Amino acid sequence: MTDAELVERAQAGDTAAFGVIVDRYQHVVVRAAMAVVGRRDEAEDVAQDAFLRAYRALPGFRGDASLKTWLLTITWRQALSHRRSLVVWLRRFGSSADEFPEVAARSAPHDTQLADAEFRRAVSSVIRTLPRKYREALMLAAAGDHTFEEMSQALGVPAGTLKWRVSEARRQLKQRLARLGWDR
Amino acid sequence: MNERIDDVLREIASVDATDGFPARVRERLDSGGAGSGIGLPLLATAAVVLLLAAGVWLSVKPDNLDTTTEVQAGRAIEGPPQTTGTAAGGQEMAARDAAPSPSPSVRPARMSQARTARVARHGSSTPPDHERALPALSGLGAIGPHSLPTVPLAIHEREVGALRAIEPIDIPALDADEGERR
Repeated sequence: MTDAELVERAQAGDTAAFGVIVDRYQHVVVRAAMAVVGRRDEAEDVAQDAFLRAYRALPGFRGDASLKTWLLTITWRQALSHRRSLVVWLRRFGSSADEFPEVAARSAPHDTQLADAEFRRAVSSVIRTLPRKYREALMLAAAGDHTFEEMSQALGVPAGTLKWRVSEARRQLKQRLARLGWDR
Repeated sequence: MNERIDDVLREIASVDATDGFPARVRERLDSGGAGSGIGLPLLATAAVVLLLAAGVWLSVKPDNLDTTTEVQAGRAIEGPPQTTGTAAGGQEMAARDAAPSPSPSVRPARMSQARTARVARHGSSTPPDHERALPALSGLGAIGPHSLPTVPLAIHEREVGALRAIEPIDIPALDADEGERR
């Protein structure tokens, strides 16, 4: 079933059709939220809120943009709102969890795993130090779910600006990693 | 290096929703979208902030400022109307506004009443500065040129002795080249 058919059914009140939309785009929405909030648990909260907002706003969806781009727009706004909220600030104040935690190493020989883990830890820590706008663009682009045109349409930022932000984020990331001794 | 960075970035950014995510969304849809998980903390935070604000407000209320109360008691008799004040001050203001302006013969009686009220409230009969009578002008020492001490100008009164004529001095004449030789 296509997105347009699912939207049409959901607009007619078919919650099962909207459930299929959730199944189809859950990962895309969680990754977009993750690019802004940087924490997996909060990203899932934001994603849930975004789907609820999308469900309520569905009668107004005219199909000018693709369903995926429309969901990205809603998710991005929801994530920005979430990050600015006082409750989140208070919750983070008392939490020791880091943004963009390092990912688990893949299966490899022991010494390679150790070096990989060290490098991943360095990348994660440097990502957290990047300017917010660069970091968000970099992480959204790195997820690979959206083209720059889709991101531009959803975020209301010119595609050229987004490309420059990603490029600048990569340059700063590489430079800071080199300062930490990761230049090879 | 670039590929290595790209690999790690992709792994960090490509998080997936956890198992059961769609079911949780459906559950919230079925319950009308309520229970986002931040409603209760938000209410608790707002309550704490309100309590703190109320505490601060109560601690600086004019009731706790004795000097303000005392000044208001005096002004209730003869000062300008107050825009803020305590309940007691407000009652005095209302009574003052309702009553006609006190005539000069009534004012001492009113001042006496205010003093009595002040003693009852604060246990002190000392009137505030603005109610104390000024001392009579006759009690102040006169200030004028006549009170300055005269300074004897002795240098003008010293006698000068008689002048004596200076006797002429005999200066011997020199030869024409005597000065150059010395």
